[in-house]
Amino acid sequence: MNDTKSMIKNALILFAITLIAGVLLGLVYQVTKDPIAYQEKLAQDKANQSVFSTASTFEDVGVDDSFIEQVLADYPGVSIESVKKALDSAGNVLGYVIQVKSKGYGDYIQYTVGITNDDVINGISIIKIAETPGLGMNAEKVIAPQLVDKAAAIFQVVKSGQLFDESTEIEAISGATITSKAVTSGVNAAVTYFDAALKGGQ
Amino acid sequence: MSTEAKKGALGFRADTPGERFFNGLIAENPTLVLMIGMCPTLAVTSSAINGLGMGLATTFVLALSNAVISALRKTIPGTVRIPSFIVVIASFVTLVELLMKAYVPALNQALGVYIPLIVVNCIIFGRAEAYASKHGIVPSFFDGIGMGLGFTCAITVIGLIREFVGAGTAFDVQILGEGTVVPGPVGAFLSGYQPISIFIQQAGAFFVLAFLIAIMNKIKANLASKGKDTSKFGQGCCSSSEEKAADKILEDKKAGKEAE
Amino acid sequence: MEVIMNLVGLMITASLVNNVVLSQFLGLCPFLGVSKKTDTALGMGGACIFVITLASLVCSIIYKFILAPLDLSYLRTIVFILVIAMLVQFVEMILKKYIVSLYQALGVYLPLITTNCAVLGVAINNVTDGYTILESTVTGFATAIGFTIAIVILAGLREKMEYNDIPIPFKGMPLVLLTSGLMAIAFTGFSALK
Repeated sequence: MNDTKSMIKNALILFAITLIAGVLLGLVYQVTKDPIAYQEKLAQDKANQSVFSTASTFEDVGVDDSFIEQVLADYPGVSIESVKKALDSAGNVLGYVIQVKSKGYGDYIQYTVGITNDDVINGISIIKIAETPGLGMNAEKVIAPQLVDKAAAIFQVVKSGQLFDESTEIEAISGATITSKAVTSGVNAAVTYFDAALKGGQ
Repeated sequence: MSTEAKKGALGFRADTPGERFFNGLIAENPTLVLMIGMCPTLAVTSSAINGLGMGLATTFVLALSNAVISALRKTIPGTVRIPSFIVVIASFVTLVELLMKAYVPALNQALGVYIPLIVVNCIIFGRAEAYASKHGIVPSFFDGIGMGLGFTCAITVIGLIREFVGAGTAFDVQILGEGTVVPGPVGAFLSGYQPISIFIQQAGAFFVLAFLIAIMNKIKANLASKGKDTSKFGQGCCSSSEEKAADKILEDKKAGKEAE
Repeated sequence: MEVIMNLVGLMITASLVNNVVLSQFLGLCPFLGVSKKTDTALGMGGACIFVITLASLVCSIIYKFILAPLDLSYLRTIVFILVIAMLVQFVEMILKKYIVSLYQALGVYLPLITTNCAVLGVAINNVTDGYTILESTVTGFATAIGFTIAIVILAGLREKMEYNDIPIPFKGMPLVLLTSGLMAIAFTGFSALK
C-alpha cells in the first residue's frame, strides 16, 4: 500500500517537473520565434543578393512541376527548392535565382545559383554546408569561383591537375571529389531547369 | 571531494564560490584531469571558434542545471532522480538551442547536432550526480561555471592546435600558409607553410587528444613520484565507468563458467 | 526497385562512409570503454543494433505523428531522450521475461546504452535530414552495424597490442586513440563507394 502511494507521488513529482519545463520552453519558443524567422530570412536574402548584386528585389515564381521530374532524373540526390526572379529597381528581369539542395559527402549542401538572362552563371552562394573541414568545406572558396561568370553549360568535374577545357570542366577540390561533384551537379540541374523552363524570360 | 580536511582546492576554503570556480578550472579540469565528456571534445574542435562556442553553451547549461538540480534536491525522490535530472538538463539544452538559433545562427549551424547532444555529455550528468545533488545552490552554480570554463579552455586550446597546424589559421585569421596576415619578410617566410589538413579532419582529433592525454599521464607520473595525491586523475575517458562494467561482465562470465 | 536501391545506398552510407564513431564521433564512450575484448565488443554491438534500430523507429513515429503536426518540433531533444531512456528499460523488462536467451547475451549492456549519444544522435539526425519512417529505421540499423564493425575491429587490434612494448605515458587511452585515428583514416577510403 505504502509502496503504491510513494510510487504515485514520485510519478507525480516527475510529471510536474516535466510539465513546468515544457511550459517554460513553450514561452521561450514564443519569444525566440520571431528572431529565428528573421535570421532565416536574413540568410535567404543574403544568399539571393550575393548571387545577383545588381538586383533590388526578388520575386518568387514557384517551381514548375511539369519540368522538374525530367530535369532531376539525370541528377540523383539533387532537388530544386525554389526559383526566384531577380528584378532591378526599374522592374526589368535580370535573371533567376535557383535554390538547390544536393547530397554531399556528409549532409545536404544547400545553395543558390544565379543565372542571368544572357545565360551566364552570375554567382553561387552556399547557405548550408556540413562537409569535412579543410576539404569539402572549401567548396565556396574553390568550386564556386570556377563556375562564376561562365556561360551556363553542363559542367564536368575532373581531378585536380587534369583541366583541359576551362569552359565546361571544373577542377575538383583535391581529396573532396564527392563534394565537388555534388556542388557541380546541383548547378547542372539548375542550368538544365533554366534552359527548359525559364529561358527567354517567359 | 576532499574528505580529509575543510581545505578545498588550491588552499581555498571548501565549497565557497571561489574555491569551486578554480577547482573546475584547474584542479579538477573536466577534460584534462577528470577526462570526461570526450565526444564533443573530439567532434567540435576542428576550429578554436567552434570549441569556444561549444564550451560556452555547455557552461551555460551546466551552471543553470546545477543550480536548479541543487534547488530541487530535497524535492526529487531518489527513485525518479535520473529521469528528473534528464528533464532539467534537456530543457536547458533546448533553451540554448533556441537562443543560438535566434542570435548566433552561424555558430548553431557549425555545431549542428552536437548542441542537442549536450544532453548526453557526461560532464553535465556527472556534476549533477556528484556535486549538485548533494550541495547548496550557490556552490553548485559556481561549480558549474568553473567546470564549464575548464572544459571551454581545454577544448578551445585543442581547437586552436588543430586549426593552427591543420589550416594555418588561429580564430579564423590566416597566420601560416598562403594569404597570411603577417606583413613583410616574416609573412613571406610564413606563407611557405603547407597546412597538414589531416589535423582538422576526424583522424587529427584522435591524434591530438592522444598526445594531450599522454602528456597528462607523464605529469601524473611525475606528481606521483614526488608523493603527491593523484587520485583525482581520470583513467582516460568518460568511459572508465563503462570499462569497469565491461570488466565486471567478463568476470561474471568467468565465474559462471567455473561454477558450471 | 529504385526504392530498394535507395535504401541500400542509405545503408552503405550510414554504416561505412559516414561511420558513426570514426567520422561523426558519436558513441565514443562505449567505443573506447567496452573494446578491450572482442567478446564484450560483440555483445555491446548487438545490444546497440537492437536499441538504435528500435529507437529510430519509435522516435521517427513520435516525430511524424505527434511533434510535427502540433508544431512542437523544438521539444524533440527532451522528448527523444525520455523516450530512449524508457525504451531501454522497457526492452530490458521484455527480454528478461520472454526472450531469456537474448537477455543473457545482451542484457548486461542495455543499461550502458542510455548514455550512448549515438542513439540520440541518430534519432535527431533522422529528423533533421527529413527521412521517412522506413528510411529512419534503415539508417538506424545501418548506423548500429557501422558501430559494431568499428568496435569489433578496435577490440581485435587492442587484443593484439596488449603485450606490445610502448612508451609508458602512451599506455592505455592514448594508444587506443591513436589506433582509432588510424582506423578513421582507413575508413575515409570507403568514401569511394559513394
